[in-house]
Amino acid sequence: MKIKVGIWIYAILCLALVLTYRYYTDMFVPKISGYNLSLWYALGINIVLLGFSVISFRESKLLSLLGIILVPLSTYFFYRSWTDFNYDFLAGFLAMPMILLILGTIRKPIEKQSLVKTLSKLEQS
Amino acid sequence: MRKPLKKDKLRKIIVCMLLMEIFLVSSVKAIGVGPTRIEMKIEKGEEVLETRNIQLLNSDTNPIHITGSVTGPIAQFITLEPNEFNLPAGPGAHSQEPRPYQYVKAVIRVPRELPENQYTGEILFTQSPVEGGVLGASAQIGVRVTLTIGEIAEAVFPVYINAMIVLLIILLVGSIFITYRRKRKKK
Repeated sequence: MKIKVGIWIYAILCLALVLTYRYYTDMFVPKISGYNLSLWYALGINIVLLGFSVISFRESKLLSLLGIILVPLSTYFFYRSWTDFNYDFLAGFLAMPMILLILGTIRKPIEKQSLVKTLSKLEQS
Repeated sequence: MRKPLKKDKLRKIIVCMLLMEIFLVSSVKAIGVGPTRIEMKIEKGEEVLETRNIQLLNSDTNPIHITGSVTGPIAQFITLEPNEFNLPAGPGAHSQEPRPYQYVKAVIRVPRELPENQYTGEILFTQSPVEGGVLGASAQIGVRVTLTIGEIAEAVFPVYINAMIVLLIILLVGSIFITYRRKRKKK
């Protein structure tokens, strides 16, 4: 359940960031140590995902590893999208929580099916 | 019995300090300035050469020397003409007589190649005694300047990004709904 809640929070934060990008572009203009705030906002959100991925590693290795891999990628996509005005990168950024949400939702039935299969195999043997 | 005495002393000290401050401020604030704020909005790619007049008044009974300077990111665009001058003695702070004044030209030069941004800063006028004169303390008065280049507009997302946002919302709601339904079934 931890990983699911983590993914939900991450998706909500991603939505908030993208809607901020859409309606309050001024938010990203100020710069901190040479980088505009887009990088720091995206990094902040992705650190939340990283945290959830690490603490729920026992619950689901697949989702946790995927989360850890997606963290730098997602940050890079958002930063590039803002700095280059390229919405293809933003699509990549939005795809991350989508993938995690889909995998997080269908994870349980897949695990159940594989458990049933292994049990039936054991019974047969 | 000690506490009330201490409180009284403290009150007296505070009242004395306040009175001193009021006295000092009234004696120091010899210069007046107008306008106190300059706001400019220009289009991106537009080259601007504009002059704004700032009026400085002396209400002190002593002649004063004024030095102008510009601080903040706006400093690169503003030059003051003149940036140093003397103002003759005024009639005093409470007098109704006209005060001697001087206009300072703030020449604002904005080059064409600047990106959309907001530049702020202050034009500061520092008062000091004229040569040979005496002044209790020096005072500073400022004019806040804001220069906005272009309008930082809302981002216009292409259709596929808007569709992805909607899809993400649907997926999020769906995921929460499915999870709670499964939990209910288990119970």
